[in-house]
Amino acid sequence: MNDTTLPPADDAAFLARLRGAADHAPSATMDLDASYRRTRRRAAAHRAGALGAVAACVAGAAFAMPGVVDLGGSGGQHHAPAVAAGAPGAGASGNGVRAVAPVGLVAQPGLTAPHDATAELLADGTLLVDTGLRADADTAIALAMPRSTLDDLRAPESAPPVPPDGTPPPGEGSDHFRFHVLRVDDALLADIRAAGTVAPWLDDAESDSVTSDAGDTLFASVGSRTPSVTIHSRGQEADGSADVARLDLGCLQPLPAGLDAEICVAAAMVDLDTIPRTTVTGPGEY
Amino acid sequence: MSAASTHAALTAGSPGTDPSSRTSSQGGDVRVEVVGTTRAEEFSAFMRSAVDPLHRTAYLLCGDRHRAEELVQQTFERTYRHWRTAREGDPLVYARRILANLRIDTWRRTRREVLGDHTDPAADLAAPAGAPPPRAGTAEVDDRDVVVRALLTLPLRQRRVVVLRHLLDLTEAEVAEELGMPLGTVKSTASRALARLRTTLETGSDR
Repeated sequence: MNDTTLPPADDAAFLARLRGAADHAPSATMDLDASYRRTRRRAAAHRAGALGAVAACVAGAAFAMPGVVDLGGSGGQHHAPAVAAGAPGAGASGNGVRAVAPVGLVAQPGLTAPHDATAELLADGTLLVDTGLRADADTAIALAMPRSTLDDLRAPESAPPVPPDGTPPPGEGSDHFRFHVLRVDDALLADIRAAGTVAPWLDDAESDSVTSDAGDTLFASVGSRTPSVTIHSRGQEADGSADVARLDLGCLQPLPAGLDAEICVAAAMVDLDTIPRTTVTGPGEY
Repeated sequence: MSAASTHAALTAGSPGTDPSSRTSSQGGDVRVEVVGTTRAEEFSAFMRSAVDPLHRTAYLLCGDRHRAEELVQQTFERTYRHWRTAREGDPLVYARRILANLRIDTWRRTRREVLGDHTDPAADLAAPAGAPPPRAGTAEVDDRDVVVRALLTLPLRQRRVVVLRHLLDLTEAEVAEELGMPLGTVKSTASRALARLRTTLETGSDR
């Protein structure tokens, strides 16, 4: 078809029909304020990823941007490039608000191979750290978050409510895993508590299990269609209402069905204005 | 609408709250002035003016409102990272170029929550037998749905060309530039795509 050639009448009607479809396309319902925050956050994470992949993984140095802690070691390489490339599901939560940057390795007791560690740089300058799950691992995750980030993480349209008995939410994959907290980095946790950023469930995580207490359930579901793992955690507000946070680790290996993983709280969300840069863990240093 | 020259009035304020955001129209061309004083102000205003045209494009390309919003979000992020370059020309054209070249179809294979499931876009293009006649005012939306589902049966390359050329009414030269294709390829691709689309729609309406 040529721009200067009029189409036959039937073609004109056909093309008008196509344009009519465009005219009646649905309008965007995006929250532009949230979208703008997300855009800036992801741009920051993109920069952090570019810097961190070299700085944190090779030299073990801190990210060259304010407010990010260096966890030492290597890792996270698998997440950051995928996120930088805009890969859906790579570090993205159900509503796509996550941004991931590599931070380093978090050692886990009993493991011979390191886990990939990633961090989510949030709008308020805090850093959410988690580690990847491995199909051959019996230990799973290092994760913590401050109360202030629960709101940021909340994705009510995609995260189902957590039942009081801690059973997995419906429709979140066929396999679910309960995580038992085995050990907490007390020194780090003390720092976090001092900064006032510890979440209630993390406080309770000092006990040997969090799965039996309503409000302190942490579990993961493994999607049947994609090799990703979604971690749900729930905090408890003072008035008893529940926060549901959702964290999709993405790009992870599928876990064998029925595996009960264990959790080690080894790294934490840190308020970067109050906590000095700290190397939390390294290989074999847990 | 001539999408090639769409531009946004860039003013201060957060993107969702400033009612002064506008897209001005002059003789069919939508133009924008870059008047913000900071990158944040400029980009916020750009988002306000660009979200609807970008969402429309994304929706036509992917046929899913939720995925369309994800694509628009990705487009904003990439545009933001290259804002200095984008603002030198028409930022909407720059953003739409990003959007059109995103991986439109990978989402359903990777995302866990498929909120709108079109497992077989070609199926059920026609109204089911015995279905009540559409209510007044809904025929256009119904037809849009049929057309969009027919679009989804096209290979992505053909879909991109048809959407930009025939649904968004860009010129062939603009399509060629935005998709990075030779002009002749745009023409031949559009021709094949339209023929296929026509067949799909006619087959659907014969059911």
